[in-house]
Amino acid sequence: MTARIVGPTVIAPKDLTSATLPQWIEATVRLDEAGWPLLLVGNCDPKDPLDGLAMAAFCAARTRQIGLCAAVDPLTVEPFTLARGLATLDHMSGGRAAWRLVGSEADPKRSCELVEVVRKLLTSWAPDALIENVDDGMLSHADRVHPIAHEGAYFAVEGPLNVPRPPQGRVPLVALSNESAVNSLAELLLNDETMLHVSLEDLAALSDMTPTVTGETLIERLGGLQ
Amino acid sequence: MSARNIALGLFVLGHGHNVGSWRSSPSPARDLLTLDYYRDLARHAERGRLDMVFFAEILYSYELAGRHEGALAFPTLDPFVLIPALSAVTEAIGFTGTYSTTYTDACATAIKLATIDRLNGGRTGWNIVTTGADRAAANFSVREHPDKEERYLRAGDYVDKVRALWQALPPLPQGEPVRVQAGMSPTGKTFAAKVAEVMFTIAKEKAAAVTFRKELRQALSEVGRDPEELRIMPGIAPILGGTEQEARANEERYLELLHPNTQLAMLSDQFGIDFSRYRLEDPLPMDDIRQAPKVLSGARDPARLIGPDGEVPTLGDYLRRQAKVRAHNSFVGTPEQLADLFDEWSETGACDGFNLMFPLQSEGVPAFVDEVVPILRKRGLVRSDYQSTTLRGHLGLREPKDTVTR
Repeated sequence: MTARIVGPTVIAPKDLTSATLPQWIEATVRLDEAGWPLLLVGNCDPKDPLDGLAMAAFCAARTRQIGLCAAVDPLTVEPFTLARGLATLDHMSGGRAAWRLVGSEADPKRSCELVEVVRKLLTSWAPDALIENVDDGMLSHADRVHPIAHEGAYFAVEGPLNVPRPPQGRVPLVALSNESAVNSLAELLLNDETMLHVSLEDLAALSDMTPTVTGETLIERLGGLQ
Repeated sequence: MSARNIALGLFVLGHGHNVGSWRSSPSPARDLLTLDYYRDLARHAERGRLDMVFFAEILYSYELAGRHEGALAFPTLDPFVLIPALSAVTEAIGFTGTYSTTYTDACATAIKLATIDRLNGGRTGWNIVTTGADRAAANFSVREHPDKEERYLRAGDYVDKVRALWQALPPLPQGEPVRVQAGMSPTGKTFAAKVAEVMFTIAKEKAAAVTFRKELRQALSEVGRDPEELRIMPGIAPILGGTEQEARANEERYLELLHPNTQLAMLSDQFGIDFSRYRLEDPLPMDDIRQAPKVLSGARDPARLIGPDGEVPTLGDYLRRQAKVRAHNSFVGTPEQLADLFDEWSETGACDGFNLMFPLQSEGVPAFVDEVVPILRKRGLVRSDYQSTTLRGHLGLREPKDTVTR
């Protein structure tokens, strides 16, 4: 179920730090207006870390169509917290959220289980679970929301999530093709052909090479599931 | 102009602090899951020059015996995603989000808060909670929810670690995000004296609030902190009306939003038995209640369900009585009367401000900003414009580097 995208479409900032954060916010607005489909945000640099979900949420509120892929450190996050953050971002952005695991010391088996639990939580509410039944006082339907009862080697999570199913359902996981075990789980694989490593200085040169992208959802816009 | 500057927070919870408030909205789900709804509330609060918008944290979905509880399981978004999104569409107001020290990693929390504080230029606060709900444990790979002493012990180390991480980063816009705390137990008070810069409290009686604030300020002195480093903000649920009669009519209207199914679900959650199987016109099933899985002392003592006359009320009567009971201070009256209350409470040293918990936010927030704030300004009780760009500045709190540390 992994999509392969063709041509350089995904912007990977080379110089995103706390000092360049304001300029990268401005750049994100321009990249969005120009029609770029996906930007990677956040970093796990221990000396100057930036939380990917927080940055993606801020950018989402200032943009209309660009996809925002949040860097996540798998070692410091619980699946319930991560799923809740991703679902919130996907709702707030109208289905433009994506995520990727960043950090070299991660235990691949643990990361794979993390992905599995997050996905179970993201889809623990059926798409039609919110019924808004004013007469019966029922906001959601009891039969359409389910515990996940996950018991694994690393995580034990009862669920369900306390955020309804996000617009994309399973929020797409992005992986770099040179990464290891989690690759096989990703909805989207990036490589040097699809990714543009750019600094703030390089941005001006991008105006000539805006990719043509169409599609409703982020995954469709990036090539679709194959 | 008076030297007083009453601190004001807007505690946003779903459609309001009446759990049935969503029933008044034409599009409840869309409200709760799109930015526009929260943005409009934040912008109203910013127009009123409030100090901050406040968000709680809930780490589980309501269920009863493994079955999802549709009358109570409201979507509760991640405050640390909602707050940066709201920061992008506001200019000056502060935002405080709740994050658990029991179920999150200190390093991850430090990075989240630091990033948000950079994104919004120093408008961030962190409500430090240890998470009281044992139900959360099942979602965090923990067999047993740790007891209160253990949770607070961990919280102390956690806060130290977060602050040390902040100090190791490139400088943050307001020095550090503002530390907020809400526990009022003896353990909670000891913790607050050491770490809190804002305390969100429950205070229904002015005299008791004066005593509490004195004690806390004294406790700060005892650990070597300046008492001026603490703002105490009790919660209050105002229901406003042009006249007292109008306000009371609004109160009645809000009570009708509370569906019996929602109340039954709350009662079921409280005792761990399914109350929907009883008839509303029958007396409370006291035998079943005494044997319920979650019978506790204090507020949950089954004896408290019986009236002072010793008579067992019907389930329906009990629910009607219960609908008016609120954990926090409530107010029903005119804008002038609410301004009077704020004036008296702050003048007597009962508090430094209030956290506003409107039963129905879509009505209460604009009414407060349009009708109460102008009176408070005229009396010199609140500022007419922001004097600072940071939450720390709005609250008159100094940057940590300027304060005496332990």
